[in-house]
Amino acid sequence: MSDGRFWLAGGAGVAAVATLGSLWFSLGLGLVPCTLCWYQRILMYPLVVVLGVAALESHNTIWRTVVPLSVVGASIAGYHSVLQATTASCTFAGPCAVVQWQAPVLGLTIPNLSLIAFVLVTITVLAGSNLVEPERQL
Amino acid sequence: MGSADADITVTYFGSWKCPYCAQFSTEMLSQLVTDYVEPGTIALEFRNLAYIGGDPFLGPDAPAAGQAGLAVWNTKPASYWAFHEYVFRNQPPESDQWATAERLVEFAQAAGISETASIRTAIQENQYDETLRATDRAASDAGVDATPTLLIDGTTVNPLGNEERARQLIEDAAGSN
Repeated sequence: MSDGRFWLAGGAGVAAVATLGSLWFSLGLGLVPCTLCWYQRILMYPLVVVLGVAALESHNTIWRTVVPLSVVGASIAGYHSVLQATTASCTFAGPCAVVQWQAPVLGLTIPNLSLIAFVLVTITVLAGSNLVEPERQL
Repeated sequence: MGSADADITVTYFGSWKCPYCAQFSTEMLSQLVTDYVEPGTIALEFRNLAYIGGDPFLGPDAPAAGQAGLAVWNTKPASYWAFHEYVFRNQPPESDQWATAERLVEFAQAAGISETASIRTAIQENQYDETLRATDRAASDAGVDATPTLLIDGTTVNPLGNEERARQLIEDAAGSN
């Protein structure tokens, strides 16, 4: 496997862990996703397939598809993280500011993990697309 | 709670299901009681927001918790604040729909209330529905948009993170009376 495909596969792996993790939070732990969580899910889930196929087929332009999704996802996750860190009330607008779960290590919240995943996906797809050999015309 | 002679009544709008209310009720509230309620400066009342704009707030089980709180207040007022503190100290995660009749009765018993039939009846018969809906309207009229909120002499403040302002409002209100 070329270095580029390795990076793309790594990105697909990050997206897969994020996807399975979010499903575990809702189906396993029974947490109810808030509105901002749903937007992040919508942006993360397709990346498993998009990056997986790109890794298999050496798509060096896949960043054009992935980066708009991952940057918007990272922005929402970042906003969600700030909202959690700065809110000290249950607002009538919605439950997005409530911390429903925290990692035993570092106390990371679900939006914190989502932010890390979107940033890692962005890095891997940019590195991977850059390193993948240009596709040959068949 | 507090002296009937207190000139000022501070209203604490909260929700049994809000984790920030649990934080306020178990951390800051007792100090405010010591500083302002015990000397007779203010009386303090808790109003539970089970509904916002007519819809349950923080889960479909929120009204059941509101019924239980009002049942305790109306039948065992002397035990009410022990119940209040016990529930908030042991509040399950906000994402759980924990406010069932069984759980609320358990909480009441653990808080030292032996007669719990009135709690079950209140929940089953939606006995205090009108009171809960009146609180929704009162919060809306006062401009409350989150819990916990203290309403002090017509001004709202979130006591968490604004403790100084909350104290200042209480002292200003006390000074002007």
